[in-house]
Amino acid sequence: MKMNNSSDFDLDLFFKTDFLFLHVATAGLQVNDEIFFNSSHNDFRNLLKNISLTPFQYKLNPFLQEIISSKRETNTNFNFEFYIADFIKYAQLGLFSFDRTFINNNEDNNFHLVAYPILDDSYNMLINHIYGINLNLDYNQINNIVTGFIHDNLNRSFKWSL
Amino acid sequence: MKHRTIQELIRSINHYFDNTHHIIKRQKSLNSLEKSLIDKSKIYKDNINKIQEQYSTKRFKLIINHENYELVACSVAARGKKYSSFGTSYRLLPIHKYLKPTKALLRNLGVIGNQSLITNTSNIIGKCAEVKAINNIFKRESKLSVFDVTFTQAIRPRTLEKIPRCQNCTLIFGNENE
Repeated sequence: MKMNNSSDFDLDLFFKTDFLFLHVATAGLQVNDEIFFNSSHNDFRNLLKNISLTPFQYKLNPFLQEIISSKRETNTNFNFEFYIADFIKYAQLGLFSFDRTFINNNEDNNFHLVAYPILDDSYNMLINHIYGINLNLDYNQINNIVTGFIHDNLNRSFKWSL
Repeated sequence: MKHRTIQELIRSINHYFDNTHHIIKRQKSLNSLEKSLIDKSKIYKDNINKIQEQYSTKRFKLIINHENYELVACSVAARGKKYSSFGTSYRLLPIHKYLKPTKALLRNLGVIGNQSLITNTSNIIGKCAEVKAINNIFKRESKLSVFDVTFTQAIRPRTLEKIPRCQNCTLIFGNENE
């Protein structure tokens, strides 16, 4: 019988909305069997890492410093650049990248957005690569909607059952 | 990439961090040990990234347990009187790999492989990185008291941020701030 030892790992999980992609770092969270034993997360990561697209511009969550202030309190040597590096990498690949907020408790399922991409026309190529369909969207409008959503809804950590 | 090359890559990653645990004979200061831990964690992360770029179940029929190419959540270094060692949160060891002094320590928490009934954490007894690190030191210094072992701060290899000591480890190794 396979054992779910997901709390040993800092997994990369990937979720899709209609046409947006989310990356989640689990930081030792015990996730459910359905997610842990599903190889599609690794396959998607592999696909992403092998796509050659110009990296997207990205932004950090404007509320990030506030959200992770507890990390600075418990860690005097906290290195912000190291902290954001992986999440930026996924934002540059076109994903909204989230981290688990309170990593000292492997059952706490609070997450926060760290970095997100500024979408542009090359996102059509990403969609085409993944879904095999051609999109032609107004990314200026989408970026504005996303920014508003982040300000209104992602300004603090939130519960996410995985 | 061929299956064999993937297997070799995985073996080298595990050898580097998870299996060998690099016991260092000469005594190092805790600061220098912490620097080694950070350096090792960076190299380990690069190696894991490399295999993640190369291996996908869609492209290869051979299914390798995915736990072999996921980043561990936690790593730590420990210093005994003569030896230092590293440990990670990667898997519970087979029961016979826990040495007598380690088992004696863990008995204070309960049964290896189960959650402790004494503490409030859901961490499994015997799985913490600190336990793996001290167990490695006991291989060379079996008479060592737990008071002779000091730990670096535990870190998350992905971000190199500090992970506070869990309740289980605090109970057997003491408060990390003291």
